[in-house]
Amino acid sequence: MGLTTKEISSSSFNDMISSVDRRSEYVENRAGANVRLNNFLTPYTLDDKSSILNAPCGYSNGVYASLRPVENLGPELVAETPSNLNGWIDARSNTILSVVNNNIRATRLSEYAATIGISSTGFATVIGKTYEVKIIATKNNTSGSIYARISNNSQITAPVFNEQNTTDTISVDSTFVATATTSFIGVLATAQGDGDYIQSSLMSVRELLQPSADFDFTRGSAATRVTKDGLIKNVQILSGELVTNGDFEQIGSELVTNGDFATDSDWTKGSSWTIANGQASYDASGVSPITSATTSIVSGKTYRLKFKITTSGFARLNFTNDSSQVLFQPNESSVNNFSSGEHTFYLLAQNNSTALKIFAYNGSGGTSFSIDNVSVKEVGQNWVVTDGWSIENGKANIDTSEGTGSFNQLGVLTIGKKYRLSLSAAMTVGRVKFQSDAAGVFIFSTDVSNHEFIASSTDVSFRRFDTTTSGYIDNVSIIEITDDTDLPRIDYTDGTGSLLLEPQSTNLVTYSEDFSQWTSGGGTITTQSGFLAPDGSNNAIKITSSDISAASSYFALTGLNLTETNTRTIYAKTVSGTGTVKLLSHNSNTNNTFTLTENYQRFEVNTTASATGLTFFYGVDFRGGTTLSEVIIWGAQAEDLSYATSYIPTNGSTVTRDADVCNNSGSSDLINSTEGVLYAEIAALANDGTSRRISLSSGSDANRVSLEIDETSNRIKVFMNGGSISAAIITFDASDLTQFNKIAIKYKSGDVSLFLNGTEVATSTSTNMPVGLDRLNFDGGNGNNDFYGKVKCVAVFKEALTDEELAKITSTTQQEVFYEMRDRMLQIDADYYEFGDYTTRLKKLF
Amino acid sequence: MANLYNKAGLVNIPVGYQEGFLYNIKPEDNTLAFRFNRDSAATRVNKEGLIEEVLGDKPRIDYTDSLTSPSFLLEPQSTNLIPYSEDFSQSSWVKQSSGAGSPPVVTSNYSTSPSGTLSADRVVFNINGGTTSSDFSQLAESVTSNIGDLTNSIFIKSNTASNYNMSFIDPIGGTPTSIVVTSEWQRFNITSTLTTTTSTLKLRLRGNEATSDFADVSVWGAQLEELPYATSYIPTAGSTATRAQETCNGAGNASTFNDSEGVLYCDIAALADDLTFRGIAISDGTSNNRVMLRYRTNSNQINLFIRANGINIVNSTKALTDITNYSKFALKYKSGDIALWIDGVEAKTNTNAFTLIGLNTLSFNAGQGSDAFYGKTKGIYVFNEALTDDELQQLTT
Repeated sequence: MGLTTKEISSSSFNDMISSVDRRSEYVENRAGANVRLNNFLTPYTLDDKSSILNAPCGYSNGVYASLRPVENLGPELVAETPSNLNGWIDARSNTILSVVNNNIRATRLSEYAATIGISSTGFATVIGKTYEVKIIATKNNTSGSIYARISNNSQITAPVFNEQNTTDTISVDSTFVATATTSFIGVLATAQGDGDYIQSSLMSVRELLQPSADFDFTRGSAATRVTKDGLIKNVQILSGELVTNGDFEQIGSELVTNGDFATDSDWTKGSSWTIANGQASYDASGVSPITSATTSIVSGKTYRLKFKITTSGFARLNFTNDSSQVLFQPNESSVNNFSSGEHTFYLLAQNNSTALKIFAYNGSGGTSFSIDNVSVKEVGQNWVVTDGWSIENGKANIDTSEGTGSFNQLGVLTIGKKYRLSLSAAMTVGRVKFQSDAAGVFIFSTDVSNHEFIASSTDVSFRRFDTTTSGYIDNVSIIEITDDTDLPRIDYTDGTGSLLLEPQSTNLVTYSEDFSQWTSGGGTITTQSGFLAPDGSNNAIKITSSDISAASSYFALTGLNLTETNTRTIYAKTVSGTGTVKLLSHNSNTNNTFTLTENYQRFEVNTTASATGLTFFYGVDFRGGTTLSEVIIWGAQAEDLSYATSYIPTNGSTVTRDADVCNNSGSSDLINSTEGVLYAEIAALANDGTSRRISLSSGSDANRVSLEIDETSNRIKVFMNGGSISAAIITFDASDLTQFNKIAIKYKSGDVSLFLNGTEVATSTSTNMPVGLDRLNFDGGNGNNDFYGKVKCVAVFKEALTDEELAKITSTTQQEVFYEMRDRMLQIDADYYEFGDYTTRLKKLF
Repeated sequence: MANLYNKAGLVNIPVGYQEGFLYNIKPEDNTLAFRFNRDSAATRVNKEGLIEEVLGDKPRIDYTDSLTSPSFLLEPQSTNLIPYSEDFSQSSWVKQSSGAGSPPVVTSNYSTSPSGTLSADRVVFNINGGTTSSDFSQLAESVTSNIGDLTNSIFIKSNTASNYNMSFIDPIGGTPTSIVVTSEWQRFNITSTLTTTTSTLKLRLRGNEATSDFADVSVWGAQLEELPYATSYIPTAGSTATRAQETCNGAGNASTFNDSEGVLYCDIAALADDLTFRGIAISDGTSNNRVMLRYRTNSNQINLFIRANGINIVNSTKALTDITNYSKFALKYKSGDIALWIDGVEAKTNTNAFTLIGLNTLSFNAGQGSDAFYGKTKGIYVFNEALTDDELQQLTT
């Protein structure tokens, strides 16, 4: 075949990723998936040949999505068009329907109910079949919600499919499974007034004709992964930090120009004022202002006002805006007497202003004075502060003597989703309620750790609970979470995304992060908590030894039930510089001296001498002639495997992460039993002496094409048999299967070959062809020999590709390298420049 | 040619970096990147062709030679001894004249400088028809320096449509070099060896030096440094400024490299033929096991050097025309089969046997921490098998 260079069109990838979007609750690693596709498809006109194509990007609870096949769609089922009035139904019989600018519109009549809507006429659906639904709609009144629905009636009640927005628009591109033979598509809007309307420019339903090749996925437990930003996170954590300025430490730029009066400029002086010697002076000859233009000060926002007074009496001041309206009220009063010294206030602006105008008074105690270092900076950004709340010194303070208002950050949450709230709090009296929880108000007076809630509002909102409440909250943190336990993991440990499939494992270290439960050997050890950990928290701890040779110079968790064959791991780094120290086991061991740097590394030992005891997990053992006297540690783990798996957090007991199981992709339509190719870009977790297989099968190992990472280290085996189980037909020893390798098996009667990284490495003339292949599994086809490893891509072809094609698809391509480097640099926010000669240089390697 | 990328353990074309790191294309593990250090800011020519500051510990991808084919720049420490490199109105810049000559007239911030900002000063020189050595118009600055090689450099362009012939004087203050100032910015530099502790930078018109009679020019970025060649511009504003030396080491680990056989490929150019050792090496972190290419203390020579288990296996040099020109070097190492390919030609072979132990790091030095490489790099690759002659030829062509 004459190979041609063909850039994969963005539309091809977009079609695939859009399809994954429709089928998946979570989609990430789009760029990484595109890298795989570019490698796999770009240079060769093969993009129409693969029947199943998978690169890690989309998943839901229980489902690991494949990119190909993209569903085929049937004809449009909705008879009506938004540009024509014909057929549309006034869903609640309370509106007038019209067509405006190619939108079908329902306008409410005054005497009827406030919920209005539009429905199509009924269209035929088949119960159990899946349909694509697309809806775009808007309403004009900001009150109420807008809904996009599929229903079995024209009132659009009891929806089969329902999406709701509290904004004025809704856009849906999703799927539903029909539950009736006649269905209706429609939109609704609640809380609409007389003359208000809802309108839609698109309502579409089409049958999904081509089933997907998504995998069924189960694990049944939580599990951690390395996210694309390099942090170790539970896969059930769905977002980063959602609250902005939750520590209230953000402070804005200086709004006052020349506040230190370095020059006699920028200030407009009243007759009683002079500027000299780096300060402004008031001679007490009359009521007189001094004014400086400022960047806009906004009423209702919080500002820090600072100034310095020098006087033998009092500076009597009123801080106003450019229209002489009250701007700031220190001590809840517009006019105050200030003595000599620095003064700092955190205050709500009472009016808008583009100037700070300071009136000085010579009555009521006011005397001559000088003022200096005048400063106004915004604080409490992103928060809406009302009476009773104030932001001061990096905290949000509540004092009901000042008011009973709420304290909010707007637009943070999605109603119905699950979140986890943590904060610091200390109330001297009373309690505060968190009022965004659908389960009811959540009341607290001290620190809150990991309170889980379903959002009842899009806003994060706090308010007093008791009539008299005083205290503060700080470090407000909210992240989105889920209870789902069958979430596949796209892991970025090596900087690129891959599906991580691991066996069951149990962390036997009962306190993996809570180092207050750990013990030191004695007085030579001191600890300090609060250091940044690999999960982004401040849960790492610094261990310091005052005498690294002292018998007491270790830090350990005791009372454990470990074995000599446990694999032990811990994350560790130096405080500064590089040095050596013993980790994980007693200093008498010889395999536990590690070189630490200022960057976290995960250190591992696979055997431990029994003489050192099996009830101790030594986080750090300074004894034994190593160089470091202080280290930072986090995330201790011991597991009964010959290699380390992903981190399993514990807090008081052992914790088990169940095995990942990923099977049942494809169908007999997508897999050819007569000939084809099974392709995988994979890496083993370890050479652990187990059999790990990826198979095309009929559901048993009697009919299968299997790729095996064998019990023998770095050995690949190929199985192909029809009707009865037979031995491997190909055996090949690779150099290192724990690194990513591109492997393709071509199967055809009398013509079987194994390609590895661009080279045909083994062949077979076996004619024992399987029949009835109908699934792609990460196991041996029989529910055993589960594949545990990392997967960047799997694909199935329904025809035996040529040797040239097989060599190419198992080679790393220039495009793959190019895009992977770009993706990797973007993920870590590195400086990255693609100069003209780059591709020329790169091309020489291909 | 077979897919060489599959055979590579490390591929670095300088496209991605961050403070403290120069990232490899392969291996993809970012923790195996080069560690980069420079304890000061520095400047580079960016992709727009403008000189810009790069903060400390950030590698420099420099476009001085080409706006489409930049290189990774590594330089030694250097100090600009001129206290006002961009402000020629300062009194430290002496505006001298003699005979028929007029003192140079300086107008500050007159034109756009090579940094893209309005920071170049206009200087108008005029010797008013004078033809003798006594007739000159000169801008000069003298500083205290150490004995040794020093280099003057300065950016100049004509403010008019005319080119001007001027004299640029070496740091000794003696030999004038004729330069032609055009309407495009040019950086002129000149090196000499000082035997006293006073050096100078002078720009002038003089009656007996075949210069123009009049020159209306913009000047910017004067630099006087104690090196035998000009390095990247070091801005000053009132005092001398030092750009710290750069180090770039520690890429890869034991899995990245093959002790038994492989190829070290470098597409590099020296900053100057300054007769110092400048090495690039795969090593075990010591001097005992290393595969190295280096410029030598001999003029215009490249040195292939292999030391295995503490024993020198090969230490062979090859003369080059000019080491400041880019060359593609490929050092094939395999016991009994050692070769150096240069720009498509097998330049050296050796059949000595060896057993390398513990190669685990690639560094821009001699493998043991010294003899740092200062130069320009377009690509550095390590292959984990001895490539064929065809592959080596194609790679280095």
